[in-house]
Amino acid sequence: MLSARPDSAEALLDLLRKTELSGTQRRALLLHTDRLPPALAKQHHQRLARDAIAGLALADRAQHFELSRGRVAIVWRQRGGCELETALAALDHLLSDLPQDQAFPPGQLVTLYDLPEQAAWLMDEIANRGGLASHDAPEAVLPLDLAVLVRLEQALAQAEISRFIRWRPVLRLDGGAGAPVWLERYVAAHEIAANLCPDRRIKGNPWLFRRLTRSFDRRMLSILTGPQDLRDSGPFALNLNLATILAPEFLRFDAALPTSLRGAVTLNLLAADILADPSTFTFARDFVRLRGYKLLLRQASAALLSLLDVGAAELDYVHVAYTPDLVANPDSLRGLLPEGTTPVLTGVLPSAVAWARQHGYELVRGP
Amino acid sequence: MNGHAITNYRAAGPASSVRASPHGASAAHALPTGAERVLMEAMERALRAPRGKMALALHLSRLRPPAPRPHHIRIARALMEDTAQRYGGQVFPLRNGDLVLICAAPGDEARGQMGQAAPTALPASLARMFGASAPEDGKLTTVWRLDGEAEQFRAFATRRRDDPPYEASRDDGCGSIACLLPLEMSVSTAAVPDLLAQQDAIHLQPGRHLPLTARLAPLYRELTLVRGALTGHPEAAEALADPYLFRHFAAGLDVRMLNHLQQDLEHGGQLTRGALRQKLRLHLNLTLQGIVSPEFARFVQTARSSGGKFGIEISMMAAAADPDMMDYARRLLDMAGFLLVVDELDHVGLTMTRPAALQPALVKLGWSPRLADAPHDVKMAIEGAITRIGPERLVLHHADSEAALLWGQAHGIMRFQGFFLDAVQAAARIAGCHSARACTLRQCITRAASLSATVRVGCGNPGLLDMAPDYRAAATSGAAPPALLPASNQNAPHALRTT
Repeated sequence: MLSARPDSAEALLDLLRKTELSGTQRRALLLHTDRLPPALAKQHHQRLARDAIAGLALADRAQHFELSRGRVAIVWRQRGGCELETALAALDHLLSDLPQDQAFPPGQLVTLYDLPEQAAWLMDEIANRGGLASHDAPEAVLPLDLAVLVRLEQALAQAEISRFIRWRPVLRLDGGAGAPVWLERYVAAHEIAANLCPDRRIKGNPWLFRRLTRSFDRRMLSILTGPQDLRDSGPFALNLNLATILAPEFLRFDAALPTSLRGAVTLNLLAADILADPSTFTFARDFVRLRGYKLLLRQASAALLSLLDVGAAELDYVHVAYTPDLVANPDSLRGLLPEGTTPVLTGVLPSAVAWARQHGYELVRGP
Repeated sequence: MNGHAITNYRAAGPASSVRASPHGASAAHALPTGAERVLMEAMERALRAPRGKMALALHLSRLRPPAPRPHHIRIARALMEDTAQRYGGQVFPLRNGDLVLICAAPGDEARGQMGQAAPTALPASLARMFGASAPEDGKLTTVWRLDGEAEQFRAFATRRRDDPPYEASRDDGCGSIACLLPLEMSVSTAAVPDLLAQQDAIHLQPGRHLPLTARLAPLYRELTLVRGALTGHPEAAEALADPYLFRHFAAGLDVRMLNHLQQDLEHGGQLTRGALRQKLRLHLNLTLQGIVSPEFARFVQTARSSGGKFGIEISMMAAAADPDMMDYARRLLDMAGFLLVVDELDHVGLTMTRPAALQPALVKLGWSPRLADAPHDVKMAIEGAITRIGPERLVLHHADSEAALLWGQAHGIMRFQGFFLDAVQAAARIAGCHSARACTLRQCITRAASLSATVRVGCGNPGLLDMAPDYRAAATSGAAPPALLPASNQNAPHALRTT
């Protein structure tokens, strides 16, 4: 077992920022105990997986961080030593116990990061996937269920959620540090959940979570439709459900949109929303285009783009995540992005800007 | 009599609820009410000075069901009111769901400035928006220049008093979901067979001169969650219009269904016995979470020792929602020796996706008359998609009419599943059943589709319901084809033989 008292996820973020600034070479390993296959998902299996990487504590200046959902990160200075190889071999051994029909690639259980170059990916993993709930907070173990969702929808119908709305810029790489093109506006779902239902993993049930985001959409639109919000706003993007675009709240938002913003608002959609009912999608798409909105596909990857023809769907932008897979195979998207569809590289920190430029990405967004 | 039963079944659909009946018995005595009276008054006012004015009618009531849905009317009205505001006009919602705009007709110069929202450009914009559910005759809008076509517009407005009212269909799951709590309880406690339906798919064999029933070979049997078991209550139906909530319920059933089927396989139970005896592949609809569950792993072990053949149907939506998990699930299916089937592809999704990237054994395309009468460019896109997938991998699903079979064959598709084939099978069963004297075709279809003992109770030969019938017996008896054709096709009962 790792014996030293672990640091929190906040401390890990702090270390990553310092590593970025100083340029210190480090390595990080993230153990996704939450991805253990069902046959190895018992508590003692999680303990075995943690024990498998315990030897990394002996690496040079190793630090141990406890993240949400039982995940563990270890960061150490990159020197010689065989601790990493020993740890990976131990994990292989653990997974070899699985029956043949449940084979699980070890690569899905751990992610390795070279710092500072890949600090952004780890920060994204921590910030956007609930990693900020540190070991000090009680671990939410129960997934969202229908009864809790009913209560959440009722609470959100009246709740003031302005303080949970976040902005992040999309930048155009035009030679300098990058100029903001639009601001992406989204609801910090995990923070709301931590307030309203701290004992639940709100993404534990993906279908009910998607339904919950419709309540977020409606609240965000009602805030935007207020007299002050749109008057001084520049171009922006919203994460929305397709059903929200068809709802009365969107029509009220559209009516309140100043002429100066007509053509400057992008609506970000998920692929599942497009494919749940393609006929409804094409109706909504043609409607919002008529009103001057642009459309963006969220969470696009080579795997998704090989399934969904974004050219036929007539989407203006796609989010492409800056991931180890993309860096290893930067041409994986070739042929999948037609003329007229612009990729926005997401999860990009300053250290990755050069890579983005080198590979022809004009629009980037941070984690 | 059997044909009559089918005709009633079809007429009960939503199509009849929104269609106008210009020659209805009560038409001559109908008086203009509400919206129609307001339209008539506004029309007369506009016709006093008709120069430079126009009227545009958006015939939403002509859209193919389930359109027009509430969001169609809401959004179309918002767009038309925006145009009305800019062009000194007014929008009149009619009781049959149609919308009429009376406004100034822009000159060429103003038209350029207004772009797609100009009243003269609106018909094209609306036609594009409503393309997926366009009317059968293609006439979604009518435009009248009031200074030259006043009488035609007056005749249209006058006839509106005859229209039946629009019956609002389900909205988009915007309502409260509290009503679903008792439903969730019932799904978690009800007997699994009561929540499931089964349907056989067929492979149409070559032989253009043979009767249809001699060309049918069983392909697979699909077990699926009965939507009706969930949507019995109107509020629940509205809430479950949300695709995510429906999938939540389906996912909840995965574990129970897998456990139940595993036991059924072990004990030679009713759900799997018929398919196993006939070596018919059994298809299950599962979520990705269901496939990676321990219950699935256990089911695979039992399935292997049963000697049965299995396929797992996954929707494109589920695959796109989590491509990484989809990849993992696909490998699990490979290792289990189960076929992957891509499900729930409609005529729009067909041209927008690349299901072949998942390397499925079969792809199920939902039949829609829109496949046959789409505009030329859409037809080309559809044909391109069929070629890329390979017609030998496509199953035309929801094939509820002869038109579906004809269209499929014309595109090289020989695998079908749907109500039309259910009727063919039922007719063949009745032809070979010693207890079927009092049975109607509809009864036999309903009982074979259900796995619930209470639904099947009237059948004197229930074992036959789970057996793919001997079609040749039906063919020689001559019972099947004429009685099976829906009323609209009664005049061409032999069309399939000559295809």
